[in-house]
Amino acid sequence: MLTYIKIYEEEKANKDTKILPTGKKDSGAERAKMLSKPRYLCMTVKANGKVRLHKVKKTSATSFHIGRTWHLDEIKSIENVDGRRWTVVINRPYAWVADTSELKNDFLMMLLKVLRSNLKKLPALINIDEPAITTQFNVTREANTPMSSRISRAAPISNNNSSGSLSTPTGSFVQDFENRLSIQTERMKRSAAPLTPSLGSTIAPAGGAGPMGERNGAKFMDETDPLDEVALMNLEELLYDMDLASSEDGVALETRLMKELNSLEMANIYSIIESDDRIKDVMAELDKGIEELDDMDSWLSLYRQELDSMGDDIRQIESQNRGLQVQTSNQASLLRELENLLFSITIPDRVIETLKKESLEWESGIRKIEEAAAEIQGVLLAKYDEDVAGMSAVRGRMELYNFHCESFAGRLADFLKNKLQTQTDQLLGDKQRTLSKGYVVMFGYEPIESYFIAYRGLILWLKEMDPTRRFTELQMHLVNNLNRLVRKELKEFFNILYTHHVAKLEKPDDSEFVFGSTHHGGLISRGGTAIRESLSSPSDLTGRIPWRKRSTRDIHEMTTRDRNSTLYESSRRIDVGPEEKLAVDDAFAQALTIVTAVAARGQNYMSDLFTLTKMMSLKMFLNDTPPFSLQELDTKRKPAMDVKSSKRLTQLMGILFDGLSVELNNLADNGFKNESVQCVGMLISVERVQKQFADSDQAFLITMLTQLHTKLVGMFEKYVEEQLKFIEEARNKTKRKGVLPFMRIFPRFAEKMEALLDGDNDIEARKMITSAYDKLVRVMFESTEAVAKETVDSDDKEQGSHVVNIENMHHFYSEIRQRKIPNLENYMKYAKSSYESHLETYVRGVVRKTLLKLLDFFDGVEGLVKAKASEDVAFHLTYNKQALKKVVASYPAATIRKDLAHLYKKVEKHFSSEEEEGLLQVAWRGIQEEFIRQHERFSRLINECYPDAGVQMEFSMNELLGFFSDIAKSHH
Amino acid sequence: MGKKAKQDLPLHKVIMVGSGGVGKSALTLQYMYGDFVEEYDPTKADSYRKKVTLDGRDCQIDILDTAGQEEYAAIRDNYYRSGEGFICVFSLCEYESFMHTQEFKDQISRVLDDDKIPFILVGNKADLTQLRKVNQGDAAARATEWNCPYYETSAKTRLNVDEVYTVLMRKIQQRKESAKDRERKGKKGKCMIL
Repeated sequence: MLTYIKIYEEEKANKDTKILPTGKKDSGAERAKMLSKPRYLCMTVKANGKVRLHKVKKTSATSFHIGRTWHLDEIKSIENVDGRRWTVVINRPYAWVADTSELKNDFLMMLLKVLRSNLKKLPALINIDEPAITTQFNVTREANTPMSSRISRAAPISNNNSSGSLSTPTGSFVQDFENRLSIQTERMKRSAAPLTPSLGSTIAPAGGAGPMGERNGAKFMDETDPLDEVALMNLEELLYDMDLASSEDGVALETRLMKELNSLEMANIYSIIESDDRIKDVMAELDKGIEELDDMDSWLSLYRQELDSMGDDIRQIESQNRGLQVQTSNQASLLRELENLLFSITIPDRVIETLKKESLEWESGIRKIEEAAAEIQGVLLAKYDEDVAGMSAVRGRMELYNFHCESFAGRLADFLKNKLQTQTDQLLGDKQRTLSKGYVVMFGYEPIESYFIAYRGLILWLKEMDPTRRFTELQMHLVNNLNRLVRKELKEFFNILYTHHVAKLEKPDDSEFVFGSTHHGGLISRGGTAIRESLSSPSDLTGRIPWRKRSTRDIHEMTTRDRNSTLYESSRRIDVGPEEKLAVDDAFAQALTIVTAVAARGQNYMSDLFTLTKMMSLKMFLNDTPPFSLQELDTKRKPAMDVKSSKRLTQLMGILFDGLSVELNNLADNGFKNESVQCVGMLISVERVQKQFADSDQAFLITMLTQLHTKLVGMFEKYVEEQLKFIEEARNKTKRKGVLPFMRIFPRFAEKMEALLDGDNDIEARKMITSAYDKLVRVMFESTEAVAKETVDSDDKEQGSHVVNIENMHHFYSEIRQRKIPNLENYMKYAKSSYESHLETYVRGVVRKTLLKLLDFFDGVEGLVKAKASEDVAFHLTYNKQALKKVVASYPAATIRKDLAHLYKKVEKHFSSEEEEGLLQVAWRGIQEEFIRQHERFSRLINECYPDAGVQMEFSMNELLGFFSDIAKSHH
Repeated sequence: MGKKAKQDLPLHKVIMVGSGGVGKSALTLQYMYGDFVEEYDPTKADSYRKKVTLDGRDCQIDILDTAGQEEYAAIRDNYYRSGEGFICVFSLCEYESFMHTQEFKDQISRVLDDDKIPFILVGNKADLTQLRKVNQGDAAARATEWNCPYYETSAKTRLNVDEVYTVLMRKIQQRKESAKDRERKGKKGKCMIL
């Protein structure tokens, strides 16, 4: 159904219709009394979408009958007559009147809408103002909606109020409880009042009704009406009236009917009961009872509610209580904390006083100040968290203490600086600290060392409190002051050493170790040193380092000297007598040992004084003061982990000992210029000192020594290069007989090298020297060979060149063998075999020359003997008896005698060399033997090949031996 | 060139004589180089020179080590001539070598025509006591007979090695000095006569 309207038909009677809201029905009933034909006009839509219009007549209070049904397209026209009246023409005109103009308009509106959507062509509309109707319709609708929404909103407001009262602060709980109790009571009274009069009619709960209940109600109403008209109706009509389609199946219909019957029965019973007055009373009483129970229930729920909220309150109170306890204990501990803090940041006035006034001069004062400083430092450096540090009390304290610290730091720094200055000046002006001949000492700075070490703790404090400014300044101050002292001392030390105690050659670099020198093995006059002699003497095979020899004597001499020489001083002193001169390398080695020790000590001292390499705080220092002794400063230390402070230390050393490298370099340069070979000794001494410091923390010295080493290596290379040049040049020099100069020099050179190395085979210089040997010996052998080739002997060039080789190689061999230099062993062996082979060649050569024809002849014979049978030789043309006789005859005894004497003279001349004059005997002996051997060979071959020839050598073996003896006698 | 230097240093020429294999070279090498060579390599001849200190004075010793196996003794004449002092070595373990010392002594005396020439009799290989064949008494008796010192040495252990050379050099030295003295006296005497 789409809509309906109650109308009053003016001309013809219409039938009634159906369900209406109570209000409208009531008013409809009223109108029906006034007008003749009340009917209902209904618009329905079928399942297939067809819309129809019905005219319905109300048959009884609850039943309706459809009078006429029209399809929409049957409507011809619609005419609006006036406020409540309109006319519709279907098959004939109907004039209808509505209850109100609104209702009419509503219906018309709906009708028009439906018509418009269902029909292609609208029926004729007469006097219908469509927009006006629409507006009106909308207005009515809107007027209804806000009403309902307003009602629905009313409830939450009151809810809010009650919950608001619940959340009021707990303090007023009890009062609130009472308030609410009274409010509740009042509500109860109010709601109870209207209930009582309406009791009986509206007991059934309104919400639970639904359409079913309403219908029941309607039926009930029907039953109560008189049943006159019911009988007149047929079954179909009844069914239709009950909204049951005839098409429904029987079972459903039966169920439905049973239901209806039941409800009718119930209504019946109900009406019976209701008709009894007592029941009304009972019901009223029951209602009353129920109501009271409800009251009680609501009271109970109220109580529970109140108890619940009380429970909440109690829990809240309990938790608050706990919170309070925690708070109290927190406050107590805060109080304690604050007390502690206050205690910890408070420093007694005496501490401040100590810092301000206590003397820094004395040990006891220093101890006191150290403790005071530690205390104030403990407060200042303590770690407070941000909140505490932010407290104004703490801040104030800190500022105050910082101020005191600052002023003390200033006092301390100034004091130390002044002291440094005066102490340094004092040492600089000390007349005792002057050097003289035979007294070459590095005094060191022991007075300063022992004085300032007392301030180690306070300097550590300064390092911790003011590391960037005052501490660094103090370091620089110390370094700069000591540097004045160091420079002066070093300068004096090296100056005196070089001027008075270093032996200098008259002609620079003209020594027995220079291969091109003018010295030829003689002793060099050199102020009082025994070195040269001992080195030049082959008997000294012990290979000790020369300068060490003197030490015992000198130490003895020194102790007797009337000077305050302490043990410390003696280790810092050049070991030399007043008039004694040292070789440069010796002086350099001694000086190097001394100055590096002084420098290493300086670094150790700074490291201790400034606590640079140890991680330590003043507190640790006071609790466990690291031991310090002046002796310990001389021991070498391991490198520290802390790279930064090691670097700093190296930096400070660089400033403090800036003159060290210069002085050492100068000495090395001067020494090298004067006698280049000295660079080897210096090089070795540098390497030895390098080794000493290799694993230590003395980065400054290590770097300096490395540079020095590189320089000396360069010098040595230069020296070797020069010697090589000299050796090569020696080929072109005049003297070609005897032992060549470089052959004489080399063994001494090698011996000196070995003596300097002193068996130290794992230093770099060893390798360098060995490779220098290689270069030198090779060039020497080459040069010897070259000289030998060019040697021109008046009548025998070949032999002369052998002699050069024999003499030189023999000399080299025997000199090197005496000196037992393992690195030269191969060259020694080579020299020996070279000597032997040259000697043999020489001997054969001279003998061949004397016995040329005989040798040629018998060599030929021997060749034949080897090829054929010896008997055939005599039949050979060149080697027959005649030939033999001839050749033998050409060497009569007298000629041999003469030739031998001549030969001896020649050999004697060949081996006239001073150093190798013994070789004459060796060579002559070889020659004699060769003669004997050849004589024996000739005789044997004659016997073998010419047994019957009766030929003998013109000179017999005895004659030959006699000639030798004669030569021996004549050359005594 | 070196002549001057040489004159500064007196040179003493020593000659080693004795049969083959008695240890002449071993003694020489021990003295020269301080080492001992175990293996035997017959020497022909070799010359050694060394700077030494004799009684606080530097001098040179020139040693001629000779072969002991020469077939013909005459070969030795020449170097005997050049000798200023002789060390005659025999092996304590070989009696024959002791016997041969007589021949060497005789030849030296013959060649040099000088009985006073510095001469030392040396019995070597003293370390091999087990193999000893020559008793000390015989050797000492011969030395007394020749009016020369006798030493027992070991080239292996260096026993008496330095002593032998030092004693001989000292003898040579003395002889040279007395010769000079004689010369001077002779001159003086002549002057006196004049």
